[in-house]
Amino acid sequence: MAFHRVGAGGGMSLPLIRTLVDRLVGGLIVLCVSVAAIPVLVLLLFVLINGLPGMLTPGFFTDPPYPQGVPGGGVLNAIIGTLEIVGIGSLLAVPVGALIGIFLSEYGRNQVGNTVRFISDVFTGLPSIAFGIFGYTVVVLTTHHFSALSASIALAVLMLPVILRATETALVLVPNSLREAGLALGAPRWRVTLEIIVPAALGGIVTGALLAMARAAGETAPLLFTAFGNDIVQTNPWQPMGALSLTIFRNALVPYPNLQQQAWAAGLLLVALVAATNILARIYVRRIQR
Amino acid sequence: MIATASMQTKVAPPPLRDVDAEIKLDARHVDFFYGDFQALHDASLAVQARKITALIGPSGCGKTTFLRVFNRMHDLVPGTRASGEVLLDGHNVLSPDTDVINLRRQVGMLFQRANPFPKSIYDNVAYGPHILGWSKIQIDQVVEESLKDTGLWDEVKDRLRRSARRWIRSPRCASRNSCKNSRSGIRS
Ligand SMILES: Nc1ncnc2c1ncn2[C@@H]1O[C@H](COP(=O)(O)OP(=O)(O)OP(=O)(O)O)[C@@H](O)[C@H]1O
Ligand SMILES: [Mg+2]
Repeated sequence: MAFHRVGAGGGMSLPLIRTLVDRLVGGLIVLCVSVAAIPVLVLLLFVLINGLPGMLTPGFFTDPPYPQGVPGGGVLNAIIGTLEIVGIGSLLAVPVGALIGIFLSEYGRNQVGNTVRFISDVFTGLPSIAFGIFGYTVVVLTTHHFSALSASIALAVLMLPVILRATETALVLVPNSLREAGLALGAPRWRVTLEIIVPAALGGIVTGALLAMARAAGETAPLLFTAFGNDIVQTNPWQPMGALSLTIFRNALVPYPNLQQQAWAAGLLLVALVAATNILARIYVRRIQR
Repeated sequence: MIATASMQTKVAPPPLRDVDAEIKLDARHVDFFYGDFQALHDASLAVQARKITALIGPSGCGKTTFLRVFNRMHDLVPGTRASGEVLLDGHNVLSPDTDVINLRRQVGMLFQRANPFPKSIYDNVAYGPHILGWSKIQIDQVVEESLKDTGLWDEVKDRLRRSARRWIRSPRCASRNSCKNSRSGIRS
């Protein structure tokens, strides 16, 4: 009825000018999306083309790097290093970040909460090398040597604001009626938070944590003077350790073609790891939302 | 304003047919404010024990607001203020020394709109007793009883452990968090 009345003013067909504006704006949007998407696609294609041969080289996944000039070798040291450094960093950052996020959402409508939010935002804006300096001064200088642990701590601090903000956002989106339903049954606030609100927001919290991990895995600057790099396969977190991003950084700068190829392959592996993490996060969220 | 006026004039203690009627809950001269907005003007209501009392009024006249005062749900909304007295078994619910958690365990509340927890059907029904620390056997029993009382048992008994979300969209969903486990209940 209402629709009919609107149409009745200017006949049944849309005025020409509105059709034109519609087309124009639609076209602009497609253009903007392309401008944003094309570089990403080109980059992925480049990494794939240049990285695949190196990845298919025998020993890439199973061997440590060979000395410069010796053909062959792999990046086992870096694979283990990235997984271990990011793993330990996540073990440190996820629980702390999630707890701060819970605090901000459920108890943080006050000055304390605002201060924490402000500090977290400042940290989000810091260049990532600053976190490397943090790891260096706090851990490397006090223990007197480079170590994977110092890198994990630097990455944990880098991940913290991402995780706590994602957690807070996910929790704030949980409708208040759920909190009231729990409290109306006589449940204490902390139980409602942990047993109802957090499970309801788990998808968002896990996604935030995985995105933070993906970001940490790709960081190079915080590792330069913390993990430092190590051509030996090292699993002891107190020792210097390699990482995929460090392999890319170092090997890209040497004149040996096999090492450059290795750098491309390490780049492809890193992209694949990050993409896999993101896809897993999405699948997981979809599953628990059903 | 018409609405609040009707609250003032129409809410009065129900006529006591039974002279010995036991008053379970007695709200006296309750004023309620959302910030500067006064939603309740001197509202009084006596509720008898073991009787169903219905509160009727036009939309927005303050029924929900009034009911929420009875178990201090308004504490959760910043900037609200209630004055007057709400006596539950003689104790003023509005006094600052009231243990609100205990109060809410005694004054159950069903909301205007169903709001299932994102948990299984079983966990939804069991959450109240679970909070009270009942044993698994007791909870199993009360879940079955509650679902039988509401006529849902046959429909849901095979999927108690599955998410309540889909179930709750069906038309027969109003009976979650049954008030039977509380000594008195309010249904908004
Ligand atoms: N959170 C709030 N903040 C400010 N004003 C509110 C809030 N909740 C309710 N009000 C106002 O208080 C008055 C009473 O609202 P209430 O929800 O108690 O009415 P009701 O009788 O339950 O209405 P309905 O029949 O629609 O459920 C209304 O004018 C409403 O706009
Ligand atoms: Mg209402």
